[in-house]
Amino acid sequence: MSEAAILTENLTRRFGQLTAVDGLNLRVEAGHFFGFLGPNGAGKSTTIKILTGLLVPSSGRMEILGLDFAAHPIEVKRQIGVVPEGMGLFERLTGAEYLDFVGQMYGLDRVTTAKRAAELLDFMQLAERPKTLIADYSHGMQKKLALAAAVIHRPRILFLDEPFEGVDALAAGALKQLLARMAESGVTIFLTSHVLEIVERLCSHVAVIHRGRLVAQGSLQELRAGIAAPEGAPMTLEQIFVSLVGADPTARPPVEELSWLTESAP
Amino acid sequence: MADGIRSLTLAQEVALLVRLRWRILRNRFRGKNAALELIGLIISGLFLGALVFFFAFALGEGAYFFTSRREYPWLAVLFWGVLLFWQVFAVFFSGLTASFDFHSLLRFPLRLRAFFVMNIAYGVADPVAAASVILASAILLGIAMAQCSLVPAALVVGFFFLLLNILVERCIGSLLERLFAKRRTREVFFALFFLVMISAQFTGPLLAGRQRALLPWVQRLWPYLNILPPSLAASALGAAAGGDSMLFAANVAGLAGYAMPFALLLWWRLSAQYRGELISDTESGPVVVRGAKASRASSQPAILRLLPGQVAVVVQKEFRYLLRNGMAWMNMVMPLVLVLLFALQRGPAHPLGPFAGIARAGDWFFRGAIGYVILLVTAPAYNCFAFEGRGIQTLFTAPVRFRAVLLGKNLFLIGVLAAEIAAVMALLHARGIWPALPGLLGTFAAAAYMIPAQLTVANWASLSFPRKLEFGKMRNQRAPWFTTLVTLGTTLALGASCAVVMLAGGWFGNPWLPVGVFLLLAGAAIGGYVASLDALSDLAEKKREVLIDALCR
Repeated sequence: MSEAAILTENLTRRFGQLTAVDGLNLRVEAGHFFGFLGPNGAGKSTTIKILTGLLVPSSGRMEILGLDFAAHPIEVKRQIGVVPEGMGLFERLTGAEYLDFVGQMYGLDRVTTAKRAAELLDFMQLAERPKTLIADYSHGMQKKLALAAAVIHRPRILFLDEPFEGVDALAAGALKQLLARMAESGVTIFLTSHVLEIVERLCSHVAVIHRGRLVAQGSLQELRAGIAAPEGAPMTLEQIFVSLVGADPTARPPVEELSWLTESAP
Repeated sequence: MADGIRSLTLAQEVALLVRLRWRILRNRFRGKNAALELIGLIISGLFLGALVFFFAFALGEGAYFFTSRREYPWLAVLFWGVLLFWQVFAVFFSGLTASFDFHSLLRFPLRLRAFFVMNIAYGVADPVAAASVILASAILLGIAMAQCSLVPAALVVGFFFLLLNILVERCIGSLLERLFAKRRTREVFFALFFLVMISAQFTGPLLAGRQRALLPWVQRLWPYLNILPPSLAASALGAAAGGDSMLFAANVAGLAGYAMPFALLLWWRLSAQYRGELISDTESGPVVVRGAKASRASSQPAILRLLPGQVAVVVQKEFRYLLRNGMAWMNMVMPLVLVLLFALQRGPAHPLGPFAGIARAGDWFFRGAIGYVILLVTAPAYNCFAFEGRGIQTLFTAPVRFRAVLLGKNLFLIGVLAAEIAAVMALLHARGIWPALPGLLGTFAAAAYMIPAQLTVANWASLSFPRKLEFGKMRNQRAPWFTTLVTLGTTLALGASCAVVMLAGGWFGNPWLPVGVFLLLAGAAIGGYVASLDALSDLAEKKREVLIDALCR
């Protein structure tokens, strides 16, 4: 078995009475493009926050690139890049200033930081307005900048929380290409997205979390094999996802109960 | 209309909004640190309440005195006091007032009248407004106790006087909010404000010796004051006491007449918001960073290269944030301006200046000025992550111990302090306010004690009780109440210890004693500060969720 880039053992996080992540045992091999899926409130963002050091687990342990996060937080952080939920940008800096700040915080020298920042801004098509504050960027531009900041130090693992949300189709295409190339070069990419088509196209491996618990993990082929498929076409990721987390008939009342909303308008 | 939907009455709409506000207020005390916030609020409330009670008592006594002596025109002075307190303090303390973005309501089918009524009702909920209502009520109570028959007239006058004040305050608030939403206007306004403050100081020397020539002008202007609201209120009460109902009605109508244009102006402003006016920095297009330096993001002053890279980059980021934050910038410049104003009061050219006596005590004035600068400039350090917003996540995902972040922020503040202290010293020297050598060295040693001691406590408070503040906003831009108490307590403790040391020098007749004691204290404070950085770094890790939760909202 190859080296695990991310390894968690009984990772649990409670918020008062609520258990957001419940005994998560996750193993992500190095170099995998890993999709982490789940319905709203399943615990995806909480997991990413724990794995990137933004949240402390209530119990359990985790290793990133073979290092215990709790014991070696700085060494771990040096090797990971993050696009967190909310993006974590300093909105009163310009894009270039922010990349300069992040690059140097990760220990890059000023010349390298400046060179990489300029190249990333060009690639993300953010170089046209160098004097504009991030606060005045559109949501999609902010996402692109957050992604640029996450990769400026050439991390070995990249954690991306909904990286394509709000990004236009052209930019998303270029970003997907970049991420695929990074994965090919050995970078582990841990991605959450509600757009299952993106996950299906990009990710080699997938895990599904539901109500804080891991309900499936493996390659797409393994997941397909584990679920009884209807006859005919192979199962899409959406079908797999629905069968894993959406099959509970008691979880949501039927649409018919909203007849006041669905019947013909007066 | 869609089925099942009924039109709400104005009262129902207002009731809904009141319920919403109540829930928001209640939920504010549910988060982490909520208990401390509540304790801070109660203690601050008691302190401010005692102050208001003191002034209310004085005004009530004054009203009783003038009314019982039938000197009704003098009541105008008391009403002027309330009016000025209400209108001036409401602007300066707008940061303390409750926050609620009324614009968020406009997506609902809310009628303009409900929007208007709620805005006015909110005006009374401001602490300054509430204090002003208490002060005005104290005047009315004093009048009622002196002359019971004046109660109905006092109630009518009080109602219109309060209504006028609320409308004026809401109007000014609304106009200022609109003005200050634009960065350029803020900059122009602050520049004008400083110019006026400084220019005003030259009026004293200019008018010196010309008072007699000015007296006829003042006497000619005096009658015009009688047509202003406070005088109208006093005249109405005088008329009521004299049984002149026509004059009473005319004066009350005058008060109502003043209220009317402000009501219309406020209606016009709120109508514009109701129609979808956007109040924000982005309204006039994106803000661009001026100057050629903006494009050279990686350029770094040579002096910063002496620092470790991560500390240097935090210092640089703090500098950029300061330049882009009008309020923070004003906070940094204000001490200089105020020291300048105090210093200008000194000397024979302005013998009647209220600070002249203080200014002549050179040593004490010098120490006081430096202490005052330290006090004001270090105040924001007690909530030093306030403007980070979501950027706080970057600080936690970066491979850096938080001591580098704290050190960067503190070094930047020390740099600003050093520049300001140097400017104040130059200013005082130019005005001939300069202490003897022991006094000078003692002041430096005291600063070396106070600054690290303040920063140690401030770092702890920043990590423990963070609160997000926003650029370009006036309302609700204050530190948590508990932080305010910590700041006050630390300042009082440090100030008292400095005073004791300096007085001890006087008692023992040894001017060098404070220097020695302050140096010892400075050594301890600096040692404590350095030792605290690692502990605070650990605290930051423990408090990361509190920080992210508070700043990423």
